[in-house]
Amino acid sequence: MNFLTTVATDVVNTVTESTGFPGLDGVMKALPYMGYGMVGIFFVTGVIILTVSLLNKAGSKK
Amino acid sequence: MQLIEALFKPIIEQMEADPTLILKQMAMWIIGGILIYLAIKKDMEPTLLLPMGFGAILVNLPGIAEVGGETVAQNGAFHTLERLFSIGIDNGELMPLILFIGIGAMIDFGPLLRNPKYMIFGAAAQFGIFFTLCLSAYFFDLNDAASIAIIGAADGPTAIFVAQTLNSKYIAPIMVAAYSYMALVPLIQPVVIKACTTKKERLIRMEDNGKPVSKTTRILFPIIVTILVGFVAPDAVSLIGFLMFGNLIRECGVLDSLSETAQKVLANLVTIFLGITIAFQMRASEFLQWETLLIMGLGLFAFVFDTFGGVMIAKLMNLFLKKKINPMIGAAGISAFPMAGRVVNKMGLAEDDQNFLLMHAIGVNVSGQVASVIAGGLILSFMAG
Repeated sequence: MNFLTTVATDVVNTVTESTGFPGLDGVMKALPYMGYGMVGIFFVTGVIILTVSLLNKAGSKK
Repeated sequence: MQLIEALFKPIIEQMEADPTLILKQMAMWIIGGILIYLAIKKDMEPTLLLPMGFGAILVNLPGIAEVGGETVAQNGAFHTLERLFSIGIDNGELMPLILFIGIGAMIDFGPLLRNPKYMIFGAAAQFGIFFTLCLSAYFFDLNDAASIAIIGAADGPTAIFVAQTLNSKYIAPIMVAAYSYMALVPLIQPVVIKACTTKKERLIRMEDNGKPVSKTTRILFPIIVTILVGFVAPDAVSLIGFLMFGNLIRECGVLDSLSETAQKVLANLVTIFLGITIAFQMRASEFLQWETLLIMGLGLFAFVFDTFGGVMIAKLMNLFLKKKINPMIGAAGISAFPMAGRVVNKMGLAEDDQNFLLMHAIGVNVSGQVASVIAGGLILSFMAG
């Protein structure tokens, strides 16, 4: 298992170095944004759902 | 001999500066031809693919050379498109924003206002954007990765706006990928939807439990959404603001003539210029790179995972709901209005000819339109931070 991990890491490092890709460093930088993005979009849509529900309730009372 | 030299002067000068450029330009004529073919013969987003295809040919005519890293052109059309690009897209992303007024005027948020919980599917169907951001960051720097990820929004103006604001050098491939995949929604989505749903789930019928929406709600909705998004994602406020302004014109009831103009004349005018102006970025030297293929692949990944996200959240909700939701409607959350909604309705009817999902799917679809703009705004806020 350790051998496979070492080989995989070597392959990734070789590809990253030879192509000039940001590689795993780039992924690690983007990872928090993925989390913030998913939480953020649900938070905003949650507030919109709440607001529309309140508007609908207010509208139906009239 | 002199006549021949005079006639072919642009080609001769270009060949002297860069002998291989003409081959690359010819490859771009073929790509332009393919886009025109797809637009006319396959009816794939013809309003954009046709101008982009023609523009790709126009900016790749001989007489353009790269001298000292700068593009020197004798091609008059090249200069005109350069100016259009500078005014309409480069400076303040004017064209996508104006187009959003037209789109806002076209959208009826009624089905969403009747069932506000549909916004959840719109949000979940943006997951592909954030997965792709991570994947793209392996290959590209963060700003380009974010611009590529937004292809998953299935929303052309948002993709242009984000890519241009983040100063991405891959705006042309991003646009081609975004609009091509939007056109391919009827081919891509059914495969993904079928792969992650069972026949039993696809047969779930949904009642139209919608209550009428008051005019006050319809008028207040665009104003409130603009304020909310303005607080959370100020970088997206111009996008959401123009979209909601268009919608307010539609819903206010006193600007029918403006609403009609925004929906038809304004949207058509901007669309004509948008496609051909984006083609300015389809110069052989910029477009023919291996990165273009990678961007197309990553765009497809974003589309597939957006669809997957929407369907899976519906399946998750079904675990807790008494009245089950047909999980296919979750897939309509990928924006691509109104095509994604129609695809879901068609799939529902194919399984059961009495299963009409259109109103539900369109409700989810318009929520996807709003959610994609919010996702774009969040990405801009992150990158600015």
